[in-house]
Amino acid sequence: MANVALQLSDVRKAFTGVQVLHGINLDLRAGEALGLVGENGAGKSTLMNIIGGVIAMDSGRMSLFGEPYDPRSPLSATELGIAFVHQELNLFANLTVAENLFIAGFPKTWFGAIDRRAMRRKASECIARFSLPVTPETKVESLSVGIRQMIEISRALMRNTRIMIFDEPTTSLSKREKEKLFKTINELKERGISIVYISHILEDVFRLCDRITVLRDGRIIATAPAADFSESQLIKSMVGREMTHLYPTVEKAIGSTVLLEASRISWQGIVKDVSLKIREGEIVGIYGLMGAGRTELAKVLFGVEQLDKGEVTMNGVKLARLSPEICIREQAAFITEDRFNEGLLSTKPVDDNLDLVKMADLQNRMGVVNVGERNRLNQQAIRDLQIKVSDSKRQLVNSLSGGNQQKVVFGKWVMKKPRILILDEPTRGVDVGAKFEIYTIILNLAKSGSAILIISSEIEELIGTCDRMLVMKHGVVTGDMPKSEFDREKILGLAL
Amino acid sequence: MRNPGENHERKVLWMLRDMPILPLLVGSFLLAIAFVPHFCTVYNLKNYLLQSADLLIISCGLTFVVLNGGIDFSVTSVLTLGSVLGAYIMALSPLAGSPALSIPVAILAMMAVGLLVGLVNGLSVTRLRMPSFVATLATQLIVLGLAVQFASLVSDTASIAGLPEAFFVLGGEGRYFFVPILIAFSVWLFSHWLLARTIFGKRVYAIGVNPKASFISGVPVKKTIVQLMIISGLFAGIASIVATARNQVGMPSLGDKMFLTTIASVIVGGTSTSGGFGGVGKTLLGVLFITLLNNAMNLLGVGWEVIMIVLGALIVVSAAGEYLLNHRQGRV
Amino acid sequence: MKANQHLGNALLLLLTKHGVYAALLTLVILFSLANRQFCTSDNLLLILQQASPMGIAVVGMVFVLLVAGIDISVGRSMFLISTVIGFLGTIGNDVLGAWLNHSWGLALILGLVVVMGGMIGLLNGVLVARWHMLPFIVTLATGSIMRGVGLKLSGSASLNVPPKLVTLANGRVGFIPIVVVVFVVVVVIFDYVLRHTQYGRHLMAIGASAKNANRAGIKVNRNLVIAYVVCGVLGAVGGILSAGQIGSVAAGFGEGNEFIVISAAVLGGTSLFGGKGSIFPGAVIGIILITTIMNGLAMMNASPFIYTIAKGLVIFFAIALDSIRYRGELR
Repeated sequence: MANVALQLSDVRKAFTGVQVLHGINLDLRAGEALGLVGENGAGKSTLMNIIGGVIAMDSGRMSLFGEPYDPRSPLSATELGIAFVHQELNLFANLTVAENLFIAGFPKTWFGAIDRRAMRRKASECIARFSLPVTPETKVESLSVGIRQMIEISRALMRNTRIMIFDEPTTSLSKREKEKLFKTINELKERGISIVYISHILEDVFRLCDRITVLRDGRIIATAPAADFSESQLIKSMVGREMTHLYPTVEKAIGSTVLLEASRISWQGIVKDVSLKIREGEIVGIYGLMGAGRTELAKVLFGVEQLDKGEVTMNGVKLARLSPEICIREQAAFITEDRFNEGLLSTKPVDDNLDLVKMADLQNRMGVVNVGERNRLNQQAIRDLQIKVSDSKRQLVNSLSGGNQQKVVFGKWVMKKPRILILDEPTRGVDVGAKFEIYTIILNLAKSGSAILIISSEIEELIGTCDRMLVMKHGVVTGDMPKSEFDREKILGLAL
Repeated sequence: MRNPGENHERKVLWMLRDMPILPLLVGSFLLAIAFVPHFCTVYNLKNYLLQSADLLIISCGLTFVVLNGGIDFSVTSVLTLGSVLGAYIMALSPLAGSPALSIPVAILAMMAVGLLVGLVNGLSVTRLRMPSFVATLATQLIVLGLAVQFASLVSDTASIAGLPEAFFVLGGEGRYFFVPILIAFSVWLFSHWLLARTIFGKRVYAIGVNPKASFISGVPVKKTIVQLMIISGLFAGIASIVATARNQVGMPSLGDKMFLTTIASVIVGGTSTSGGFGGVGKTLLGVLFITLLNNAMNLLGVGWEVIMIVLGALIVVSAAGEYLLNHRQGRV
Repeated sequence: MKANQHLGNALLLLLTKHGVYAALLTLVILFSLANRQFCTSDNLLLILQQASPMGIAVVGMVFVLLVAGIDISVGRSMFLISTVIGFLGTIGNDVLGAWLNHSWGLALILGLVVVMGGMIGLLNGVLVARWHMLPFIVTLATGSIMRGVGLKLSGSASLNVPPKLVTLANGRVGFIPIVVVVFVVVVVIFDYVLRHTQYGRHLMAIGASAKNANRAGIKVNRNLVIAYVVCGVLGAVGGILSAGQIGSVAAGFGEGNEFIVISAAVLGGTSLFGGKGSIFPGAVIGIILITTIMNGLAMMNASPFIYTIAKGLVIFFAIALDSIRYRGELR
């Protein structure tokens, strides 16, 4: 029996009533590389965060080399030998490479100052190992993301690590850098260090990993040696599921008028030359993995970020300047991905959130808000959307469940009867019941002639609601298919 | 089924929790009446109301800025510049001979000063992206320097006297004692109306809580910030009219001690310095309390130094208390 | 639009990195033209002498600014500390009087008041770090308290500083003023701390991203408090030397000094938003620049109120540059 480095038994986790992990059983052997694959929202990040000590599990047991393992913080996880290389880098741009490498514990001279010579020496070794085009004194702010990632990885490798978790490590690496990384990972394996490798680049997973485990909807679907899988089998297990969500069916017609048109949009190298057209009554979905540029595209379309190149046309009017105000005037609406920070005034009551967009229409000439009308509209929204709130005037929005919070966001925008609606992950963190209600709202809006753009990481959701689907990968559109051609594996393949 | 008596209790409790200044104010009043000599005289109470009037006008303006999560250090120097400029127009300029002309011009000028300074502050924050505490710190110095420089240029004496008597009406001279109080109350009422009933007010609160979400929801964030900065400056200009009229001279030293009492009124009143919570109702209570403190301490012979210490301590305690009450309980 | 942006950014970069030196050079030339006495070695040494006490406070301010904090109580802290020293001199106690006149006695008393400054810094730091209060509100309040206490002690009268301190603050070692020596020593020590100790690097990390620093295991709160203590201590030292130079502590001593200190730090390249800054050459060049301006204006017999306006303009431009570069949140 191979030496088990990390074992998980029946680990469960729920967020605000939504079960994200349903009893995970996993074991990681010493010196092996275990690939972890799954769609967005499958629970990969949550699982790794639990192992890395970022969040606590609700129930279950973990053991590290036979000892019970229950980290209270990322720091204690690190001390116990688990190194987690996140996707978002934990570097300090204003410090040098060497300083970043040793930020948690500098080599010191006898009277407490930093031993720069020792630091430079050790840093140089690290740099040489990866042949990085930097010196220990280079400031991190001048480096590309790819090189920064390598530094982050080398920092993790410096400690007395027994288990290393890599979360999408190669997204910004060049081919050469990737090879270096793989070589290093193999060396680590030889040293007996276990690796968990999370990536959506399946060919890398096949190349690097001894075993692969598939996570889907918070459950481990399969764990087997890499040789036992083919790529298509892997995709199938990642995607295949019974239809657990029912999607409302609504009779609607798609008109010929194009309400939203984006032409050759580019932004900061994250969105590259994207064009799309949405007609009245049409629901278009955009699928893609994290980092594909979908949210950035949405923000640029709505004027939250300023595009570098391209044009946006709404209702046939080419918009010379883009801002949320202007878009709202064109009867467009934008439900953001991050509702807590960008969609809601979390410490304010429900009423104050509901009227935020519609306010401008409720004023008379002096700027006074028509309170009666406002209350009527708010109450109507609460009824229509079945928002569960007892006292909308006093109850703060952050005391509501995720689903109800999202409904408040919907209520806010839908009150303006938008003709163009851009939705970014509209049902994230929302329970099943509320999800159905939200889909109904969306479909009814389309029925009344609105053009709708849905960005989502749930293929199911897009298949169930959209008329057409686009797939984005690395900032470009890789696929555009009508409903009749919807195929889960094909869609995922285009995104990977 | 709750009985009406119980509901009433809950309302009172909620009000107490929301405005802890209220019992403090009432308590202090009682203490003052009991222990401070000469407090309860007509003369003193008149004085008290007049002092509150000035402070209320300027504090209302500052409340808008604090609601946005910022601060405006320049309000008191606007007071000073306005005072000096207005006095000059009424006493030393070519218009000095004709009060019918000089008084309205002076009043307009004093308000214009406030408006302009507010505009500069607003643009510095929105266009230059300067934090408000630094931008207004800088404008405070510049405006103060201008005021003192101007005063020394036009007059040999420290203050500019010789203002037309008709002007003193605005300061509550004699039987016109109610005038500044009326002005202050109108300003307060206007502020309250702006914040509670208009869309501008709603925007101020929204931006104060979350500028990003407000922006995405179509709130004209930059425009609103400029507007509230202008209000702050404008109200300071109005305050300078009333204060100058009351003191009957144009004084370069007018705004000296006032900033501390102004910010103390707003913070002790209960408006949150992190933005989005509070209002002029609270500021009114704060003004009444701080003026009471000032007044009582003066009567007791306590010097400004001690008042400074007390005000500083009050600000710290209020801000800490506000944090504890609201932020710890997950309200923020 | 992008090309223009790039040009604008490059210009800004040039301006902020080297603008200070260019400005200094320009000013020296302008002032020398206006008054031939400006460029004498005597006057230049005077500038250094005038700059040194404030410069020490600037070093402390840099620490606080690096973590995106601020301390606008510096001037009033200087006032209180100096008033305490002056007050001790008026007590008329024989023992105390003897101590003040004796070198070691005086040193002990000075040491104690510097510790007092550190404790005020501690108060500021704790209120900001643990109670999450806004730094400018906290330091505004503590500043008022300190001024109040100081005024109460002095009775709003002008107090004399112990003669030994006056000699110290105005004395020279060879031809170098003692205050300059102290300034240099402070700069050397604290620049070293900032560049070559774990604490200094952690401070920079916190300034770059408090969130990341926390994740990396850095004790953010503790380091924040220490920064404020350093600011308090160095502010006290600067205040003592400044009072010594003048010889007495008037009721208005120290008022507005924080503007000079903050401007000097920002002009020298320290950002209000944290994570960027230096003591050498930053703080040094910043305070020299500002002192040069003040000195030059005096040489030109500028009206005293021009000073105030000049101070305001200087802060305004320094911070505007900083803000445009680092783009803080709209508050």
